Amino acid sequence: MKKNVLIIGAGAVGAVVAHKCAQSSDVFASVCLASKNVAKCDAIIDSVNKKNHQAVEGFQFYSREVNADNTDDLVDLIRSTESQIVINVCTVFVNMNILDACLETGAAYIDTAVHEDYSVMNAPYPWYANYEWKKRELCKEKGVTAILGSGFDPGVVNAYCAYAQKHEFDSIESIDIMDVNDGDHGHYFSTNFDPEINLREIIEDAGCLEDGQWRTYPHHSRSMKYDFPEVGEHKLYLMGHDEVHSLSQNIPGVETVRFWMGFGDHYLNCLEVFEKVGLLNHETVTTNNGDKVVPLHTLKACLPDPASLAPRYKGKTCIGTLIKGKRDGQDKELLVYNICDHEVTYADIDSQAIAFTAGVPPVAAAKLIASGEWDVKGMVNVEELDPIPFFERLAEMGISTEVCDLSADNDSPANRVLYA
Amino acid sequence: MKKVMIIGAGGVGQVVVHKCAQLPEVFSEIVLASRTESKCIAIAKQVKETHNRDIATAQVDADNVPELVALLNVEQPFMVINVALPYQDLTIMDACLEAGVHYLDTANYEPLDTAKFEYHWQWAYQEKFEKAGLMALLGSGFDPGATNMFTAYAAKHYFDEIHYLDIIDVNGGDHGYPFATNFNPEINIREVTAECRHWENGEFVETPAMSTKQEFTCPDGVGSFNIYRMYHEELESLTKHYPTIKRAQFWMSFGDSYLKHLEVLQNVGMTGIEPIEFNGQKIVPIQLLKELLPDPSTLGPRTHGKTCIGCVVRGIKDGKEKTVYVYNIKDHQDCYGEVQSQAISYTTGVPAMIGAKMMVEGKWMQDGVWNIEQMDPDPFMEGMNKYGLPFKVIEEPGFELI
Repeated sequence: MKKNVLIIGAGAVGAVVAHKCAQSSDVFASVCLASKNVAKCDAIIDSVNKKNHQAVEGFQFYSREVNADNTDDLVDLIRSTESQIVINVCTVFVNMNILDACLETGAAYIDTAVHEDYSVMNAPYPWYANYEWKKRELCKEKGVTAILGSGFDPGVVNAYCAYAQKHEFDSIESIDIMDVNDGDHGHYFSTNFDPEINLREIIEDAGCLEDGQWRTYPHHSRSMKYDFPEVGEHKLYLMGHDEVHSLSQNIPGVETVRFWMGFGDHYLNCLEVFEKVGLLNHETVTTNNGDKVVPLHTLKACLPDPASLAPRYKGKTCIGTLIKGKRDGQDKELLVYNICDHEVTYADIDSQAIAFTAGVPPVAAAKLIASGEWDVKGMVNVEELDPIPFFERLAEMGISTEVCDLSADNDSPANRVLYA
Repeated sequence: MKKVMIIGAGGVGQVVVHKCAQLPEVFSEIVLASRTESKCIAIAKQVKETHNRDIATAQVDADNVPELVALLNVEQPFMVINVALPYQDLTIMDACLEAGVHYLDTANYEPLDTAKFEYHWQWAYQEKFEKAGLMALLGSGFDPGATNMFTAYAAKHYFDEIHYLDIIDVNGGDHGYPFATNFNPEINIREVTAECRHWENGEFVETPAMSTKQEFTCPDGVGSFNIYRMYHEELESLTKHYPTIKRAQFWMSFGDSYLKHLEVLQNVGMTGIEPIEFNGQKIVPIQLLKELLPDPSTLGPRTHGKTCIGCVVRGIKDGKEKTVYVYNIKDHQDCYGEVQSQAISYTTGVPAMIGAKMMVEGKWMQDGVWNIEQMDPDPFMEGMNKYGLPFKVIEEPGFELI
């Protein structure tokens, strides 16, 4: 029996999820797109309909309004839509409400980022263990499938580690996840997804595992350069990121797990000004004429809507995992990565590559739950699952997987396409 | 001994009141008027404490001529020192004409809706002041004001003919904040985004804002700074009154951090004056920005360093080419110690007092509307030395300027 899917969240990533689910009417019986703002859902449904995908007869695709702050409302929505799979691409502050609603109804749960408390900056380590993992036993007891962090990073990069562990290495010593956007959106300054989340996460302390120890550094205080396939050399900065925690727990013997993101000088310049002037604060201030204003909200209102960037975006993203370890007693170094072109994703589904790479993987996960391959009846992070069928589904939907063996001899081909 | 009325109780007004109060033999009575009388009362209290002098205060709307005339008729001062807002110059001049009071200001008239620094509106009052037997002295701050006097002084004592003029305004002060503006951020932004104009071969030449810069090393260890060419109002009057000038340029120092902040904030729209919406709430970005930035009036006690403002004049004396630099250096903390204000307000307020003193004492008294460089610079320059802004002259300073 085909499954009914409920998507919660109608931002730029929600739009990608909606498009890709609508292209999968062979797998899904119906898709409901729900958000606090139902007009945003309807606009996405319009854009999907304009693409004229050939849908299987009887496939339903519709919108609903929901307040994700309220677990009871979520339970009602899952029941009334008869959803078996919930894809949460809403703001991370409501993860636990949606997970609770899935536990209540028995629906499978998929998300793309770890839960956060809005009022807490620099969320204390260990991130997954503070919220989601507390429900691990309950998921198992109730037989509810919950796949955590199934976007690109976290998500696909975790699968790269699982692949390396199973097929390429005897032991893994270090993992460096590297995320670079070599694209240009043509605006003076813009974030690629919700500024409220993005500008907040990049000024948080950078937590990582190094030499078996958990360490934190001030944001943007550590950098390196890396020469990527296709997009060339970029400067990367150490950042805290969800998957650093789960991988440090789930990859046996790993001593170092770090996340690095590429930032241009101009971007950092702007960020420094915002931070120093106080525009990134989320505490309310009162202006001269008595208005109560949150600086970060004002900045967000001034900046371009990330969903509007896609038509002008040119260039490519490269997100990869650099893994070092041993194979047959020899040192080995492997880069597993994906290149995604902003103009190609726009032609496909009116989306830029950053939203595309974040939105396609949860659909791949939903398909694997529907097929039973990932229907594990418990809570897992992506690295705990078989990566091969995941790579296959990603490739079908436009995300290839490539590897580059950096320890190989010069005469052997170092770059190979794993799935495309 | 004369009675003066000072209109405007901002940072400059405060300095003018302090300095006039120090000279009871010149300014026998002082009235301070502003739209917000509480600001006048606060300044009067300061002056009472430091100089034991009583300052009268009054509330007045300087946009309103009848209100101004009524106040002038009651107080009957000898002259008005106008340190209110530049777009109030004409209403105050009209009131002075009607009440028979002399006039002095520090910045030329600007219409409220366009940022145009031009003298023609005020020069048009020439005949009216002449007929009324009154004097209006324009631009008696530092720049314009002291810089015009430096030029006139150099021309009088060092040259037969002046050909090149570079006015260089360096503020080497540091308030310790990553970003703060000395006054309204909107006005600061307008200043650095306005098209540049400089005088060259008989006409004003326009170039893009902030497009020409050079490094300038101030004398006496003040330091080296990036100075940017921009338009400033004294270029108009000086090139008119010194027609031998072939090229006149104005330069101002800006720190990299200041420019970086302004550029970013402006480009993302945080300096906007139109409301934007967030979840149904209307927010005016600049109003939030003002709230987040340090209050300009709190910068005084924490600003360290010096200002260095002067004129590099090049011309001919006895058939030979020569260059002279006339300048003043002022320490921010010295100003704060003396009048509880930083050097930006101090350097504007002191020349206003000296100009008024020249008029009160009759050293400069002639009917009509005059720019300050049309007056004899010598008694003014003596005043600069005496009242807190001593000047120096360097012949052949050896600067290598663009």
